[in-house]
Amino acid sequence: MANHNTPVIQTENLSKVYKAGKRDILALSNLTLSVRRGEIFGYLGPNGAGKTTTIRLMLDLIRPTSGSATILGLDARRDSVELHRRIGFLPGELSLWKSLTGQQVIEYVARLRGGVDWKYVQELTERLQFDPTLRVRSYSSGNRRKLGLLLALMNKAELLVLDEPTNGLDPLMQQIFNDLMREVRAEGRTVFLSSHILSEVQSICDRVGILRGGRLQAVETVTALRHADFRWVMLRLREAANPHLLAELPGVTDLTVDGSTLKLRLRGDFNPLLQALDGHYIVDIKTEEASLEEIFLSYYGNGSNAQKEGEPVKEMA
Amino acid sequence: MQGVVFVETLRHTWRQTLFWGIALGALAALVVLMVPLFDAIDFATILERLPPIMLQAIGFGDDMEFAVSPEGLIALGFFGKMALIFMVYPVVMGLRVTSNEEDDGTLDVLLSQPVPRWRVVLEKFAAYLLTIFVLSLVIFAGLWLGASVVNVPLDLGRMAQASFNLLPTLTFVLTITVFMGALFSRRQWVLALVTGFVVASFMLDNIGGLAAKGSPGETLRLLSFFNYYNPSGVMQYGLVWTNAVGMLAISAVLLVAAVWAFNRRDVGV
Repeated sequence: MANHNTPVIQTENLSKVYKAGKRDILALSNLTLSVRRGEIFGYLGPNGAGKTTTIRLMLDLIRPTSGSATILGLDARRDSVELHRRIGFLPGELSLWKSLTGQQVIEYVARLRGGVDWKYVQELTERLQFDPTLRVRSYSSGNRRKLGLLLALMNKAELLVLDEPTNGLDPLMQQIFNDLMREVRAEGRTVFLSSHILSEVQSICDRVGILRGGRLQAVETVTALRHADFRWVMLRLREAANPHLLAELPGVTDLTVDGSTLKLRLRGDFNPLLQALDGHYIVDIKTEEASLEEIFLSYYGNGSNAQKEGEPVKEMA
Repeated sequence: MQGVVFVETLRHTWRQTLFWGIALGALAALVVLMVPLFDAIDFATILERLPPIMLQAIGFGDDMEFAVSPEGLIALGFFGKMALIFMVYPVVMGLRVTSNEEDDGTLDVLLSQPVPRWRVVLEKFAAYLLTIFVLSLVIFAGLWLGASVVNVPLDLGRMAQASFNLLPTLTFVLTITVFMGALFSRRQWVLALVTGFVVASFMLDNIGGLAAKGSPGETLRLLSFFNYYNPSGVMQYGLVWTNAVGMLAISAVLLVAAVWAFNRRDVGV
C-alpha cells in the first residue's frame, strides 16, 4: 500500500511515439504529472491530444518510448498485474463480448478480479438503471457505457481510470455518474478521468490537466482555472470613450464598442483599466467569469498559454 | 484467478466445436459408408488403367493393394483430401487467442484485469487444444460408427492412430496462428499470412509428391508440414512418433515465442 502522501499517479517524462510506416507520430511528449490521493483529476484535451495514449500507458496496454509511470507506488510496467487488481478501468472505446449477456460479462470480470461485493454490484445495477439480462450486442451505446462503468466500479478500486466516461450517457445518467464519483472521492479513493467535455470536468473535478498535441499545457484547480486567466468586462459610460485608450492596455483583448458601452476581455488586474478611463463617468461595470470552454479555447486558440518546448508545466494549484 | 480464461474460452467455444465435431464426424462416417461402393464399381481395375503420374497426382502411390483397401481409401479420401478442411478449425481458433479480441477491442478489457498476458495466451491456447483433442475423438467415433453400420472390416487401432495423427498437425497450425497473432495486431494480416502458409505447404507437399526421387521438388517437400502429417503412411505402418514429437516440439517453441512476443508489444495499436 502506498504512503498516504505518495501521489496516486506519478509520471516522469512519459513519452510515446508510434511508428506509422516510415513516419514517427508523437502521441505523448515528456508527460510529467502528479495526481493526489482522494481527488478527481480531469484530463482534458481534444481528440487526438494524447489522453487515451496516457491511459493505455498507465494500464500497460502500450509501452512507453521513454519515461516511466508510477501508480499507487508501483511501476506501471513491472507491477501491472497487481495494479490492475487495484484499478477500475473504463476504456474510451468500450468493446465487450457481444455474445454474452450483461450479467455474464459481469460474472466473467468478477471471476477474473475476485473479491467482488455482489450487494454493491446489485446497488450499482439499480442506480445505473441497467438491465443485465440482455446480450451485449443488443445494448445501446448508453447501456454499454453503463455496463462499462459497472465493471470499473464494482471492485471499489483505489483508483478509477475512466476514459471519456460519460460518452453516450443521457443527462440524468450523467448526474448519477457525478454522484457516484463524488462518493468515490468521499471514500478517499481517486478518480482520473479524461474528457473533452469541459462542463463535465467543471462539475466534478478538483484539478484539471490540459493536454494538447501530446503535451501537457497546464495543471490547474478548476477554481483557479476559472479565475486565473481572464474575465469578460462590460463597461457602460455616460459618454463614448476613445477605444484606442483601452485597446492598447496590456491584458485587454477582444474589445468591442457599442456607443458608450464597451465590452472587453481582461487578463490581470482591473486597476490599469480604471486608470485609463480616468475622467470618464462609469455608469456600470459588469464582469463575467470566463467559462471553462473559453479558457480552454484561449489555451488552444492562440497558443499563448501553451507550454513551450523545455518549459516546465504551469502548476497553479 | 487461475483457469478463469480457460473455462470462459471453453464456454465460448463448445457450441462451435460441437458443430465442427458433428460435421467432421459425419464426414468420417460417410467416407466409411462409401467404402463398399468402391468395391462395387471395381475401383481397383479403374485405377490400374490410369497412368502412374495420374495416380501419383491423386495421391495413390506405388502400393496399389493398400490404396484400394478400406484403410487406404479412408486415408486418402478422408484424412488426405480433407486435410485443408481440418486446418480451418485451428486457424479459426488460433485467431481467437489474441487476434479477434484485439481487433474487436475486447482485449483491452481483458488485459486490464489482474491476469498476466502470458496466462491469457496459455489458457486460451490450452482450451483450444482441448477442443482439438475432442474433435479428433469425434472423428474417430465417426469412423467407428460408419464401420459398424456397413460392417467394413477396419483396423480400428490404425483408425485411432490416424485420428490422433491429426493432433500434432492441428496443434502446429493452431500454434503458428497464435504466433502470428502475437506478432501482428491486425487480424487480416494474421489470417492472410497463416492461410498463405497453410496453402503453400499443401501445394509444396502435393507437388513434391509428384517430383522424381532426389529432385529439388522432393527436397522442398520436406519444408511442408503436411509431409510430416502423412495419413497414408500412418494408416499403413502406424504413427510415426518422430514426426509427431517433432511437430509438437516446434509447436512448443512457437508457443513460447508467441508468449514472449505478445508480452513485449503494444496492444490494440
